[in-house]
Amino acid sequence: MNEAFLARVRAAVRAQPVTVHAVPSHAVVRRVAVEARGLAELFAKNATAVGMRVTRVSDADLNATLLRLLEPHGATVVAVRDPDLAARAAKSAGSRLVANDNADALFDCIVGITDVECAIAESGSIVVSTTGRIRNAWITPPIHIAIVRESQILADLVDLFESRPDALDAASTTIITGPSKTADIEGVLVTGVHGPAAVEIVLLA
Amino acid sequence: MNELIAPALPFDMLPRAREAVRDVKLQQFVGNATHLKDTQRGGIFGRDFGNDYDDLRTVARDTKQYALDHLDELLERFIERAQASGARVHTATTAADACNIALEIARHHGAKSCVKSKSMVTEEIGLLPAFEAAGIATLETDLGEFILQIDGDAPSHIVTPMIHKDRVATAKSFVRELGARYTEDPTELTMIAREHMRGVYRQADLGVSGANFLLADEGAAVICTNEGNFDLSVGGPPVHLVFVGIEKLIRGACDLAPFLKLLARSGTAQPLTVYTSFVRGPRRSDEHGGPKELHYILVDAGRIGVLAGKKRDLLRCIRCGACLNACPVYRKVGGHSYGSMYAGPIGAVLTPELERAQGGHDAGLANYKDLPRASSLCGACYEACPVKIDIPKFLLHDRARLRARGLSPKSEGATLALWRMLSQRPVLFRMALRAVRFHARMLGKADGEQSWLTHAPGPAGAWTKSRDLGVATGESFREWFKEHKRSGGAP
Ligand code: SF4
Repeated sequence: MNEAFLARVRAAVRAQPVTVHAVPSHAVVRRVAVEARGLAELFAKNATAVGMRVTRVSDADLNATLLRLLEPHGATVVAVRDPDLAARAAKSAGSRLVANDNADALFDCIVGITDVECAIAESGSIVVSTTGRIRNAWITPPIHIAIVRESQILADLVDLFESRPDALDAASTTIITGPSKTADIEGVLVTGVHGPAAVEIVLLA
Repeated sequence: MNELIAPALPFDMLPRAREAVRDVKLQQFVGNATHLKDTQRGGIFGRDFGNDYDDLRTVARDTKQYALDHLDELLERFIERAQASGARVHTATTAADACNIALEIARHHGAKSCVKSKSMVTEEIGLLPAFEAAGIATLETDLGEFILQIDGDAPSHIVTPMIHKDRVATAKSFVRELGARYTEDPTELTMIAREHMRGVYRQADLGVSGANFLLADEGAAVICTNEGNFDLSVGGPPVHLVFVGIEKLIRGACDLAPFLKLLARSGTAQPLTVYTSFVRGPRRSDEHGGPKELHYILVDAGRIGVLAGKKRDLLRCIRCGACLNACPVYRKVGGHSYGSMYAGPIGAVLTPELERAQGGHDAGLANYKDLPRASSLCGACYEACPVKIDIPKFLLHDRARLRARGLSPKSEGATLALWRMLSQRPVLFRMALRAVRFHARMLGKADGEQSWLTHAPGPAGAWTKSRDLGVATGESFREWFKEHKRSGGAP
């Protein structure tokens, strides 16, 4: 079945002359150089521009920051791959903590805490995957708290594909650039349509 | 299939266009929304790419054309690697084949319910009616598509499907179909839809999506949404079906960046869509959540024929919607006037071409005689297109073909009727000037600052029969537009 289909595609490709023999250089695609200084600032600025909130803290202040962010909220799932961060996030969540092995339970959570595979300064994005994290913990609860280390920030989207291809190894990986958005009804922007209305980034120095 | 996007053939555009032009509300929504999006697109590219914008488009054009020119290799690699990741790959020659493959999988699992993320190809193959007929209740989860679904309406724009509808229509259908209380507030309406869908996500048997790109090297799919409905639609159900046209293949993640950077900026003036999701196989043994089975249904439905023909370039389209937003004719006649899920400039060339590829020689054009004429040939679509598809060239080609086959009305009467109808609105002036400027460029009769057009092709010919037109070829549309506004003309 697939073989006959492939044969038809092969014939179709040959029916016209090849016009592009090699993929062109993508140099123009990159906007931020790898060695750019102040990647953390740039990331924070661009993440804020797309509607996420960035709090920059020292590593020692992580727990206090999480406690403050979680304070008004209830059930929390911790989907953090890094074991050290996972333990600290779980401690901060305390009695709010919900077991992180049942995808259906995510629908009853208010907060999902994750770490990230990496972040991208140029677009203000974070990258999460299902390696070591329960799937959709970052999208099902109405609030997503993402813990990002400054050292995880890549300059440009291009760098994700060139230098961190392993970030895409999981069954599911998502680049997140803002809270869930729609403007389907008369172009009026509404956040939190399916995914979280709020994305809080805790950026660790 | 909804008759709005799958009309009886041959398709007659005029009655729909006439109705749209008379619909004051539609004129307002579509006109304002497209104009805003078009302006914002210019803004974000200016800010982020400046003078490199054109080079970026050239890179994207050649990268995608390379993929089409080597589609057989890429397809083979994709199938092999996707299978290695644990996915099952099916190929479907016709729309019916694609539906049947899905129905077979659904039957195998005894599936009764389905949540579906937005996908143009599933509209094209009529998946929803097929599922409904088989008793599989299917929920569109993209907010716009959901509202269209409960209203029995059809998308009129590739990216913003309910661009032709307003909050009042939405409010009424929510009261009627969901038993919601009446509210016209977009936030409240959105939250009503959210709550409704969250219940369904948890129980659905099947998750269905399209894909924006297929990566041959990785055997992976890439899906872009702003709402996050894709991740929720396919994360819960035990089976995920990805329907995708074979033209979505690119070499791999190594070639993805230019397209991601162009797609969201061109469509909605964002640096990236909020969610760019990669599918790399079904759930792994050490993972919590996600589908146990992943199926790719690779769809031909005319694409192989387009690939073999003179309009291969059309398959570069990444469905960003920019050409619709930029098109003066789309802005007036709205999406349903094109009689296809692919509206606007790209639809005007793609619909007949897909039809031709599936129906034999020239059947496409014969069935959509009006589409090649539904353009002012102003060139705005080409200028907006992130992969530089020369849509005006193909429209001209189709017009010539219609004439050669004797399929044009003797007097171009239908074209003039459409033209006259549009001329009842100030937009004609804008459109006409741009059209003439485009032709002047094409005919190459530049004479210093001015060129004199003595034989305008197409509909404008009616004017030049009795007079010559002075045309300023050097001025950009935006400059002209501003100038025109200052001098008190109609915007
Ligand atoms: S033809 Fe070009 S501008 Fe139009 S939708 Fe396709 S990619 Fe976008």
